[in-house]
Amino acid sequence: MLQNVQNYHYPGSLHEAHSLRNREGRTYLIAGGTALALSNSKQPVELIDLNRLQLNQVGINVKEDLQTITIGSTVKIQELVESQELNDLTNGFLPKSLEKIGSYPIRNAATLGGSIVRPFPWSDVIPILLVLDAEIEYYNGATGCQPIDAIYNQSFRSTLQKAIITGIRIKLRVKETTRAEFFKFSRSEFDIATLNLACSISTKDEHIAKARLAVGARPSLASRVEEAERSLKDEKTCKISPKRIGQIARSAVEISGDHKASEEYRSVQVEKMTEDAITNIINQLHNGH
Amino acid sequence: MSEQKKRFDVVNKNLQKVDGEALVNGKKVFTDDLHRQTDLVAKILSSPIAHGEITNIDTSKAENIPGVELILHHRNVPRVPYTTAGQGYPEPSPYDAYMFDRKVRYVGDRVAAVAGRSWDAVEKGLEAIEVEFNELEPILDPKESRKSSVTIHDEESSTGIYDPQKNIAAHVDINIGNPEEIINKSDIVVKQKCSTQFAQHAPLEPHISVAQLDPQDRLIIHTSTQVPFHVRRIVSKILDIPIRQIRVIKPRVGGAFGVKQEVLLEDIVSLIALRTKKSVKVRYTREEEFRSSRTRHPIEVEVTLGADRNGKLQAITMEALSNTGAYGTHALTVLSNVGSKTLPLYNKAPNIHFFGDAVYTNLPISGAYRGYGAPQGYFPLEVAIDKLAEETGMDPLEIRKLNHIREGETSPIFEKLGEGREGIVQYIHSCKLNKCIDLGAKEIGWKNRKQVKKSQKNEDKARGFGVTINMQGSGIPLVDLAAARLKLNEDGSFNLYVGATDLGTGSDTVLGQIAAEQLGVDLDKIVVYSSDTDFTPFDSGAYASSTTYVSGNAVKKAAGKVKSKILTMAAEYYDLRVEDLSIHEGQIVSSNQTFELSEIALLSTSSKLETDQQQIEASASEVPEESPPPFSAHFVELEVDTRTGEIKILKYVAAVDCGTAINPNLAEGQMEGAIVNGIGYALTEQMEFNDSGTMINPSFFDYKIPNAEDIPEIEVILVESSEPTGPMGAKSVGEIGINGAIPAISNAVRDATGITLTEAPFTPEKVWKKLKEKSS
Amino acid sequence: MDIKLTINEEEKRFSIEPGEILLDSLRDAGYTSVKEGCKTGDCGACMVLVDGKAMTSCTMFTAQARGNDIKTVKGLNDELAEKLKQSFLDMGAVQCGFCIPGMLISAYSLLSSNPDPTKREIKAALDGNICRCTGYVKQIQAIKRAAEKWEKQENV
Repeated sequence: MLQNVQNYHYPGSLHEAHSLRNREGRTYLIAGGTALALSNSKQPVELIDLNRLQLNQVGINVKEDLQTITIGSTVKIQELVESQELNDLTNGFLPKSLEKIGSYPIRNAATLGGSIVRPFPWSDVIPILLVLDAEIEYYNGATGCQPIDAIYNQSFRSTLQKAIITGIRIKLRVKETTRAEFFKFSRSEFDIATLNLACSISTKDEHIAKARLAVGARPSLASRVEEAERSLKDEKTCKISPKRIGQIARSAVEISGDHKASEEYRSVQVEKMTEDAITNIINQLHNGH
Repeated sequence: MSEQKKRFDVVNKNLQKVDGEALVNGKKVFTDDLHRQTDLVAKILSSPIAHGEITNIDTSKAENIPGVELILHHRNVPRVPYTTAGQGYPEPSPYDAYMFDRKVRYVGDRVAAVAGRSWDAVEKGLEAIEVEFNELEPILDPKESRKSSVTIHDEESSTGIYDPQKNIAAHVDINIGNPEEIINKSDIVVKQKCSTQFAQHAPLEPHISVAQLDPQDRLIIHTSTQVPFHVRRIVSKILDIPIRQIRVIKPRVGGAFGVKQEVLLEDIVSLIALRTKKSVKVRYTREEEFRSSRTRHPIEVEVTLGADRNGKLQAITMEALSNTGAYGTHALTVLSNVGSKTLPLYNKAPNIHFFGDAVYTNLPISGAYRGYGAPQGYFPLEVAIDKLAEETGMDPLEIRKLNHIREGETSPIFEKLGEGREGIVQYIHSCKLNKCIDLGAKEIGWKNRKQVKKSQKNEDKARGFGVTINMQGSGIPLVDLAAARLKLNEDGSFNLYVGATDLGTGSDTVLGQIAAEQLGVDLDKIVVYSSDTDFTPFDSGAYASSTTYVSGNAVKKAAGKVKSKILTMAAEYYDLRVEDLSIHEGQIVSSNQTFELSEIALLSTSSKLETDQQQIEASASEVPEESPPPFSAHFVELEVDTRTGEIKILKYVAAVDCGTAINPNLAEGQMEGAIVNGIGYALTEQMEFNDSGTMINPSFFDYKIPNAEDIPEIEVILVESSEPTGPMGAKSVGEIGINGAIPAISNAVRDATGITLTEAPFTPEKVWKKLKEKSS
Repeated sequence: MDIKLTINEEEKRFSIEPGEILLDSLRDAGYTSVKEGCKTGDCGACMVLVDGKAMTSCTMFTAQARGNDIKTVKGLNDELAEKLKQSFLDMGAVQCGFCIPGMLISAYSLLSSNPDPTKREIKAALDGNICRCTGYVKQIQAIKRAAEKWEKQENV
């Protein structure tokens, strides 16, 4: 657990929280706090509790072609897992994929905000949000919004270290049919991923309008597999060969080995998960599920 | 089977555990609950290197830290060689341990201990101790131990080591008949080598011990242990204080599985209490529990079977190389059990050679762990039997039925191989193994397995079925000692005092049921008090699956004596013949009258009884002459993803003959727990080490134990037999359940894919590699 | 720092270090039904209800719990809790008992929001509780049985 905590603050406003975040020294934001259990840091640190800032709402907004889901950064992951509304909107994807995170008590405490601010390389949340083209809402004196892949940007990461993440935005196009799948290969059911994979396909008139594939815990942080995405875009769903996409993904993803799995084995998993994800998604699309 | 059910009033019933209410209400019953605040706390400084001499230890800075009260290390503690093994005296393990030695022999070994008034002071104290090591080359591969020029135990003062120069802690060699010759002449020969890994018991409650002096300056130790009496004796030896001066009490224990069959922390807390005259607690963190407690012996075993063309076994050889880690606790006895708990199962082979060594390495200390060598032995044996079935074209069930031991039979192994000594001649009185096989086969759908496999539509998934049979023991014959005392209270209730150690296993309840059954009263009339060396009579402790069988018999005897005294007094008082009286449902019954037991109870200590007032009580001891084995058959149905080697167990069935199940829920619970422990051992659990011998996964984060989502459908079938030498027909059930998972899963994977898994744990990458090799 | 926590509906004063862990504060204050098994959030022995949701107290700072309604197993005495406890006892789901307070917290949390869970849902709600003794079989049965009995009562 985190040691050497100097102070514990309870800001009552976003502005106050932001000022605390920008003082001298190290600060950690507390929503669920579960990530900090994995830190052995002995450096002096200040804790800023975000649970009094009302960032715990889930909003759904429908405007013309777009359904926008806004999830407050301190909403508990288990709340999202149990949400019937999110289940219907994402055809089960969001609840089912988030349920693979951690364990029941961890999900009762953990939040999306906490999973983004300093993501672990084995994060399940990042690949899930990547394939949904999620956006990060934050406050750093003023409100801002960046697409999720801005976390690969060093300057945005620095911004986040001094900002307060306020929410996550997911937009779904009403005129498109989107189906997604998330797989996690781990040693046992309550474990971090040895490899994870998220895939999302949106179709319009039987053609793939948008494809997203993200592989994480490679062992490094999730990244999108653009070669595989390009092979899927504009194709007719009935013409897709899941095996072929699996092979493309396998050769395109940057993978290495560690004590948990060798490079070759991770590649095998990438191929299998890609194949299975595409197969499942296409089945769902064809069966109208 | 229904006849047996009618025979018993209290035994063979799912009665609620006597400690159940307290546990579900989270009452203060565990050691840290009872002793949350102590005057002092202490922690152990452990070695960062795998092998070395301590050339200097400077505690001056540490001693000056505010709050630090005492620091122990090799220069200021007695140097007494002992074994940490909680075994009966004389312990069959080498005396190669010292409270603090001048050498360290594994990463995690003891260097010093700091006692202070707060955890913070103690942590600061640990950090301030300056230690210099002369690092020595470590031996990290047991295959190198015997050839290495490095000697792990070169100290003159240690005794009982088989060959210290060759780093052999223990050696075994049992030869019966002409096995090698017969194998050469056999129609069919099957050779199989398998190996198992370092695995940890990981009970949910880590080790914890508390010591303090009472007003008479006696040392009172509260400790989470399986062996309170051995703790008392061994602490007495290490600190050179009379046993009379020591009292050991076991509160509720949060699981043990063998890891607490050791004197792990009690010597340290005792010495600190004696020197400071203050109460002190040491409790392990989970990381310390992983690094510095005990582990499973990793053992490589090679089995060779020689059989005739009809599949009848003629000869078996079994060679074992056991890695006993840095110290030899349980080295000889676990090694012996690799053969003694497995080979008698296939007694049809008259020629047997069982031999092997337990070698030292500079790795964590292997000790007692459920199964105690049997799981490691059954792995290659059961894989080999399956291969023999394939060679002969026989069904794996048929070949086992052809060769396994039956009621009325014996095996020469029983006599030749005891626990670190000669064994005893033993005949099997109860064995319903065939019924276990048949019922298990039916439950898993064994007959239809070929159809089920064919009907598998998904070409990436292969389905397989596997079987294994096994046995264990019930206590250690002529070695274990259990005793019980029972006294009658004025209201017709009884106090039952047993040394026997309830680890959560429910032995307090089981022994209470046995007493109640023998007496003729309800369980709620029995107040059980256990594991307090001042008040309860001796018991070797909870290991070797001894409690129900051995302690149970002691309880039954004591209850019989008490019943006899009650009836004698009743006969006298009511002027009846004692032969006409019995006790039933708490009443004294004759042919046409009933009396309340409580009436005699009250009278027995009352002046109303004009003669012969007395405290009705009795003691009894039991040293078993046999160790009647329980038997079980395990079946597994699983699916292998042939692309990635991932194994998914669909169903696990185990049918067990444990004699009479004194409490069927608890017996099933033992099997279910052991099965899941076995599945973890087979698929996911492994202690991993880097090149310097440091464990790199000392937490549940990285050492993966099955949770509720990891388990398959599990079905346990209790097949009742009646063991004539057991209390109410009982044998044991505590260990046998863990013997099945590894071989059953290995056999099922071979059934599904044709590959033989020989190294546990069967991680997906390992399976995938073998699949790849096979297809290339 | 000084804070007030509400534990089992009682307000209690705590004088703590800012970085103190809730598990330690609870055990030191006598709430010893909350057990320490790992202190890394992996075993569930330390679970408590925080505003009705099951969480591991070893991954929470004590200061975090200010303003929350914290319940340990001692504070669970409504009808659902009694049914759960009795079901665990009847089904033989309690062996050493060290994991049991945490298990009951998970089970209570589950049944409070999902009164009729499937076996799969029960297993998912127990995935943060390690039990080394029972193999989970009887615990899953006990929860299912308690749910059935409770539901029947609710519908009466």
